[in-house]
Amino acid sequence: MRPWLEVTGLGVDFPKARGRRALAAVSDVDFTLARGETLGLVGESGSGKSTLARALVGLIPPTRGQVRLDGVDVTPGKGQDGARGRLQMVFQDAEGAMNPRLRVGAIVAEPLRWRGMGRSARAHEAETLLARVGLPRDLMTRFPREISGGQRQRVALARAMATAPELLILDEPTSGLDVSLQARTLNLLRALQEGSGLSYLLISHDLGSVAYLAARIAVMYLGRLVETAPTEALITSPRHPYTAALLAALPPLVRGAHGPVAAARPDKAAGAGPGGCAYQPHCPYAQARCHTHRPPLTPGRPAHAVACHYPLPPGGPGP
Amino acid sequence: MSAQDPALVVEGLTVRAQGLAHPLVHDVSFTVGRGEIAALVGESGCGKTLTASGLLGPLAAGLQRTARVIRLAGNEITGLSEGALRTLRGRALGMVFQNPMSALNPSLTLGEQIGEVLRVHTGARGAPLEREAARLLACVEIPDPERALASYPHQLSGGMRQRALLAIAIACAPRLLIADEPTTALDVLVQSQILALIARLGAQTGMGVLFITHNLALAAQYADTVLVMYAGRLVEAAPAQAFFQGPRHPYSRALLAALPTLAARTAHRLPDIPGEAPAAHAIVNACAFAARCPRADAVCRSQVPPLSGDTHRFACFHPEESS
Ligand SMILES: Nc1ncnc2c1ncn2[C@@H]1O[C@H](COP(=O)(O)OP(=O)(O)OP(=O)(O)O)[C@@H](O)[C@H]1O
Ligand code: SF4
Ligand code: SF4
Ligand SMILES: [Mg+2]
Repeated sequence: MRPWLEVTGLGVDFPKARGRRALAAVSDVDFTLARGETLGLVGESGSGKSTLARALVGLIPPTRGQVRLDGVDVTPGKGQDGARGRLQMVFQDAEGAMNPRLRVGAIVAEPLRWRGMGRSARAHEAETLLARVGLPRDLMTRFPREISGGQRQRVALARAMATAPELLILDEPTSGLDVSLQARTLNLLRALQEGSGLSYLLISHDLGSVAYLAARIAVMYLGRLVETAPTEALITSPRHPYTAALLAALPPLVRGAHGPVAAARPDKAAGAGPGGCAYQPHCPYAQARCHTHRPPLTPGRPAHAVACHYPLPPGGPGP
Repeated sequence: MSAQDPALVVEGLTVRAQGLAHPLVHDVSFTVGRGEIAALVGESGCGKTLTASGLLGPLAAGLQRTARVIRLAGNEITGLSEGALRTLRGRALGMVFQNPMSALNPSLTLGEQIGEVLRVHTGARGAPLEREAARLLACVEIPDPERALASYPHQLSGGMRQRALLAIAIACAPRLLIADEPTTALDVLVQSQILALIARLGAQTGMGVLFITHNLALAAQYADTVLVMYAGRLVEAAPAQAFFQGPRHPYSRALLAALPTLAARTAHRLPDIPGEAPAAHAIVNACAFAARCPRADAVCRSQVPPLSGDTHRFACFHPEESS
């Protein structure tokens, strides 16, 4: 069966200043997503997660690769109409993404106008959307700066929902929120999805939140996916050394009894040869081949792909 | 100051704002021992930063501090003139904040910025100054210190910038480091590296650390003492181990239960705390947590529960069972 969303070979280059070689921010990204499914995307800041998200919704034109929805090519920048609102992004910095001169009601109602809705229908729908994200009616007349950070995040979510998207790309939806608000937001995201067929691409560096919402997790390192697996398999039996290091670095309270307790990666600058594995400078398992040959993302079973010449054994390295 | 003095002793710290009848930070008392990390945790707006700046910092206009005791490495500071306080701060206090980019000057190299701090504190110049700057960067485990000294802040990663700030903060060998959300903007790997580094520096030098965070999991991993703040008051203060084994205050317990741990991934929903925290100055004769507390009764709504106990202190009329 054809997957609903299919991303193949996606790449984004940023031109470097003064005609120097282009910088590949994202390379060779392949993944699929089913309707109603949540895929988590984890990796350190600067690894290209947000760039990938922006390329999917066309905010940055992808340099290479293809995005297909229901088998139809919707790659942004290819001249077609693209996904036209079917893929929506909710930004990390909810405040920066809002027009400070619009009231909350207008912020949420704006996309409804693009859908051709009349004035009173818009007001009514905006109210419904705010109620769905658990915000009181009287917030509609406030300005973004007059509400709390947690409320702003929910307003951004309500606005994204206004376009009736099929996929929501959530970029760090709970960063900067304290525990209680974070729990509330995660619960809300799950409730919005239930029975609606809405899919999420959830970008976060918090593995705990991602594991709570996502059925599958993709791990990104320096612009490439290095491992994709069902959440359960990724947490209990990571195969890429970088994924193992991510898990090992989790505070024990979050990690519990999961995953390997390997030495965390030292924080040194990357310096892999152009042909080798990008993780090689940090990798405790690197061998000669890792310096010269880039490991491709190789599918395994069950649906567990890893880009490593010498992956950790399936079943985990033991407790 | 004697080497045996705790890094910080605070008794009865209260911070008031002009025009508000009730304080924003109310009667806060705690101690940070030598080489010890005390984590101050709580929801946004509960008064963590205000407590930290109320301790030793110059306060924003319109704010006013009172305290029975504030002793920094054995030096009583209540009653000191602003000038004497500034000298003491320079000698005994280091600070790092959440956003390392805004705390560094983008138009100066790291070497120039660290050099400036060292010149003020030690009077060193020339080659010895450069050596000392490189030594500091090595202390915070920045590889290739010479190259880092010649770099501008934007040429460094977030983790490196935070390390550089830490180097500046420890330049005067402080007895107390105040770290206000030092890693919130960083990702997990870098976060744990920076905290491990702070812990190592504390253990090596005897420097005490007041670590302000809303990340309970990090507190559990690195803190010796946990201080929980709610609506401007300390509601629980305990050795970390006792706290995480059996928090006594219902608010502490609720915070821990809401954590999205890996084990919680199969939970149907995460138990969040209903409602919002009240503003500190809005609560008068009641437990500030009463409106959100499953154990609240009439007593809780008519009096403020005092913070009591010996090593494990909590402010609650109906505490959770100890375990
Ligand atoms: N200069 C000021 N004048 C009046 N009120 C203030 C002032 N500074 C802070 N406050 C208020 O005091 C309370 C505590 O603020 P504080 O910055 O200490 O919170 P915090 O616990 O550090 O929160 P966060 O986790 O968001 O950093 C808040 O309600 C805040 O709005
Ligand atoms: S390919 Fe080699 S260097 Fe890269 S992660 Fe695997 S073992 Fe480590
Ligand atoms: S004093 Fe009462 S309301 Fe406050 S935390 Fe304890 S039980 Fe809850
Ligand atoms: Mg603060």
